[in-house]
Amino acid sequence: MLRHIVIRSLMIIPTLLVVSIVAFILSVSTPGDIVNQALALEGVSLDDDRISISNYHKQYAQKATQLGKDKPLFYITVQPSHYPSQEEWNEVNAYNREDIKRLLKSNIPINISKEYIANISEFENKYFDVNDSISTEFKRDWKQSITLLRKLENLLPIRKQLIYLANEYQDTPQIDDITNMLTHIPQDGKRSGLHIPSLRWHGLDNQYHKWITSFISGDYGTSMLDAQPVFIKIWSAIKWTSLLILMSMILSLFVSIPLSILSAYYANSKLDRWISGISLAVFSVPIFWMATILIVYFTTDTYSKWLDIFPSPASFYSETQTGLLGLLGKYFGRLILPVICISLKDIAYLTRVIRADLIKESAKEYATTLKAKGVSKWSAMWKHILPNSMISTTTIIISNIPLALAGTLIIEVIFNIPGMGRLMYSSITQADWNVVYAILMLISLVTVIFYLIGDVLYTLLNPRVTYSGDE
Amino acid sequence: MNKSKLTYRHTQSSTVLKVAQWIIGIFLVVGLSSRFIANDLPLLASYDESINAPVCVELLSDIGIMQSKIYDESKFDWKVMPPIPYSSDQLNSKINISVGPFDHQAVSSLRYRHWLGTDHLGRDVLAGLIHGTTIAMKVGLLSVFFSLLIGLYLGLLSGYFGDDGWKINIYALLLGGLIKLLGLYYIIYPLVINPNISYYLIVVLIISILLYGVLRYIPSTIKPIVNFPIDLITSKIIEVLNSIPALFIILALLAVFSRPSIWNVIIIISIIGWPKFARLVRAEILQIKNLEYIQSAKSIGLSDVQIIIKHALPNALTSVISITAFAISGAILLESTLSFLGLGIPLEEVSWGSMLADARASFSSWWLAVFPGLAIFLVLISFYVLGNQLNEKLNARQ
Repeated sequence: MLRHIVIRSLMIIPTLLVVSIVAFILSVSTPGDIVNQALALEGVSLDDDRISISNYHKQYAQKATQLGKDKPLFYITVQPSHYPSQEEWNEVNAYNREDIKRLLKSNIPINISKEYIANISEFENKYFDVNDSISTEFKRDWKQSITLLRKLENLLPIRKQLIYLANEYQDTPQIDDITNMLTHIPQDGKRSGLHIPSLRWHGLDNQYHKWITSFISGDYGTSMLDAQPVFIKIWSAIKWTSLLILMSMILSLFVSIPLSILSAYYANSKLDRWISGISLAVFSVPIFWMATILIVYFTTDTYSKWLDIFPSPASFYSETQTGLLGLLGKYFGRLILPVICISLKDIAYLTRVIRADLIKESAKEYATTLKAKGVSKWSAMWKHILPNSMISTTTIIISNIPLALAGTLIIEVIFNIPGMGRLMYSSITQADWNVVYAILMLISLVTVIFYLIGDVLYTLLNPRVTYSGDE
Repeated sequence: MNKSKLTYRHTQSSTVLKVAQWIIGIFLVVGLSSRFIANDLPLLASYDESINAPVCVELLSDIGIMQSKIYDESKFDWKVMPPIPYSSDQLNSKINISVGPFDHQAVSSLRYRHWLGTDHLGRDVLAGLIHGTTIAMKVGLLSVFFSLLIGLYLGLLSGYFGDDGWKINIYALLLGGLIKLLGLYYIIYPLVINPNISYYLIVVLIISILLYGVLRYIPSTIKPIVNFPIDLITSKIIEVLNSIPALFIILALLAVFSRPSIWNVIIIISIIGWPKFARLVRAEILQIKNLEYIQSAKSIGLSDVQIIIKHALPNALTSVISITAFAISGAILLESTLSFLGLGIPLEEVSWGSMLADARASFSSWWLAVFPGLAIFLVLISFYVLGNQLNEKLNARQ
C-alpha cells in the first residue's frame, strides 16, 4: 500500500517535468520582446528622445544578461548548421542579435548580416550621440529609416526612403553615408549554407535550466506589468479561488446528496425522471450564460426594483490581509451569485453520478440481505448504501476539483473576483507571461496532486483494491 | 427481485430524441447555408443589365476562385433578397440601434424587420445568430473529427499492441526515429524560421524510403528485435495533457498565436480532445483482442494491419460514436466560452459567445443575453440527449 503511494507520487515528477518543458516552450514562443518590455517598465524606451541609441543598446544588453535572455534556450538546441555558435553570439550586442537573426531568416549569410547591422549601429551612434551640429529634421528622418533598415522586411520601401533622404539632404555631409547605406543593403533570396540541422550542447548554462531551478526554489520572477513578485500576486489570488471552490463544493454536496437519494429511492418514478431531466438541462446550460443572465436580471434595477437583490459585480474587492474567514465575512453577499453559478453545474453532475452509484450499490447482494432482514428501504439507503457508495463519490469529488478550476476562471472573469482564473486571463490579455506560465505550472501541480489524493483515498477507503506491487 | 427497475436506465421518450435530432439537423443546415439565409447581398439580381448572383460571387471569392466584386446599391434593377436581408457584421441601420424584438423599429417594411432586435452597433441579432451557428458547427465538427483521427490511431495501436506486442528491429527503430526527427525539423523549421526550404522534406522522404527498402533485405538473423512501448508512450502523453485543466492550457496555447483565427481554435481543441477517444478505443480493443475471431484471423496469417483495419476498427468506431456526440457539444461549449472571453476567434467575427459578451455591456438589451445563450443551450442539450441515447443503445447491444 505504502509502496504504491510512494511509486505513484514519484511518477508525478516526470509528468511535471514534461509540463514544465511545454510551459517553457510556450513562454519563449509568445510574440513580443521580453527585454524591451522589462526596459519599458523602468521607463527606458527607444521612443524617448532623451535616451540616446547607444545608451539604449548598452542598457538592453545589460537587461538581457540580467534576465538571462542572452543564453541558449535549452540544454541542446537544433539549429541550421550555418548559424553562429554561442561563443560567436556572445561577441554581438544583445540588441543587434535579434536583427541578425531576422536577417539570417531571410537567407542573408551571417558575415554579411553581421557587417550590415554593425554598419547601421555605427551610423546610429554617429548621428544621435556625439554630433549636435546635425539638424533635428535629419535626426527624425534618419530614425524613421533606421527602424526600416534594421527590420529589412521589405526592400522596396527602404530603397524609396533612402532615395528620398539622398534627395533631401544633397548638400549635407551625411549624403556620403546615405549613399553608402544604399549600396550596402544586402540582397534577399540568396541561399547560404546547407539547411542541415546541427545539434549543439550548451550544458547547464541555459534559459530553461535557470527557469526551472528558480521555479523549484520558489522564485517565480516578477510581473512584467508592475514589477511585483509573481508569488505574491498568485498567493493573493489563490485565496479567492480556494474560497470559491470550497463554498461551491459545500453547497453542491448539501444539495446533490439529498436529491440523488430521493432520485435513487424513487428510481424510475416521475420524481426521478424530473430530477434527471432537470439536472441534464442544467448541465447543458453554459456557465457564462447563466452568469450573464443572473447579472442582467438580479444585480440591476433595469427590469424591476424588486429584482435588484445582489450587489453589482463591478464592485471593488479590496486587498485584505485577513484569512479565508475574514474574506468570507466581508464579501459574503457578493460571493453568493458566483458560488451559485459554479455549483449549479456541479449539483447537476454530482446528482447524476451519485444516483447512478446508489442504484448500482443497491443492486448488490448485501442490499438484498438487508431487505430480507427486514431493514426498511429508507434506512438501508441512509445507513448502508450511501456510506458504501461514498467511496467512489469521494474520488469523483476530489478529482473534480481541478475541473472546477476552469469553471471558476469564467466566473471570476465575469464577476471581477481577483482569483487565479482572472489573474491568468488578465495576464494573457496584457502579455504578462511570467505570471501566465507560473500559474500554468502551479495549476498542473495542484491537478496532479488532487488526482494522486483521489487515487490514494480510493485505495484507502476500498480495501478490496490491490495493486500488483503489494504482494 | 425485479432487476430492470433498479438498473440505471435514463429513459428518454422517443419524442425528446426526435426533437433533439431535428434541432441538430436544423442547426447543421443553417450552419452550412448561413450565407444564403442571412446576407445583405441579394441572392439573385439584375445588375448592369445582366443577371447576377452576388451571394455566390461572395462565396466563391472567399474560397479564392473568383475575384470579389463590390456592388453599387443603386444599380440593381430588381433583386431577390435572402430570408434575412442583413449580414452579421453589417452596421446598416444607424437608426435601429439596440432595438428590441417587440420595440417599434424604423424599417421600410415587415420584410426588413429585425426579428430578434439589434445590438449596440445596430447589427441584426438573428443574422449574428446564424453566422454564429456556422462558427459553432465548424469548430464542433472539425475539431472533433481531427481529435477522433488522432484518438483512433493512437488508441488502436496502443490497445492492439500494448507494451510488448509491437516488435520492431532495432535498426528500423533507430533509423525511423532519426528520420522522423529530421522530418519534424523540416516541418517546423520552415514554419518558424525560413519559409523557403520545404523541398528538404522531400529529400528526407526519399532517403527514408530508400533506407527502409535497404532494411528489408537485411537477413533477419542479424536483426535484434525490441518491443516498442506504444501503450506506455500514449498513456504518458495523455497523463501530461490531463494534468493541466483544459481551459488553462487552451488559453496558454492561444497566447502563442499572434493572429487570432478560427483554425487556431480548431487545432487547439483537437489537440486537447483526443485523449478521451484514445482511451475508449484502447479499452474496446483490449476487450476484443483475445476473442477467438481475432486469434483465428491471426492464425490464418492475416497481418496486424489487416486485422486492425478489418476487425478492430469497426468495433472501435461503434463504441466511439456516442462519445463523439458529447465531444461535439464540449467543443462547441469551449468555442463559445473562448469567444465570450474575447480570445481565439477574431473580434470582428460575430459568434454566440461574443454576442453574450456584448450583452454584459448593455443590460437593458435582454434579447442580446437570451437568444445566443438559448442557441448554445439547445445545441448542447440536443447533443447530450443524442449521446445518451446512443450510449444506451450501445449498452443494450452488449
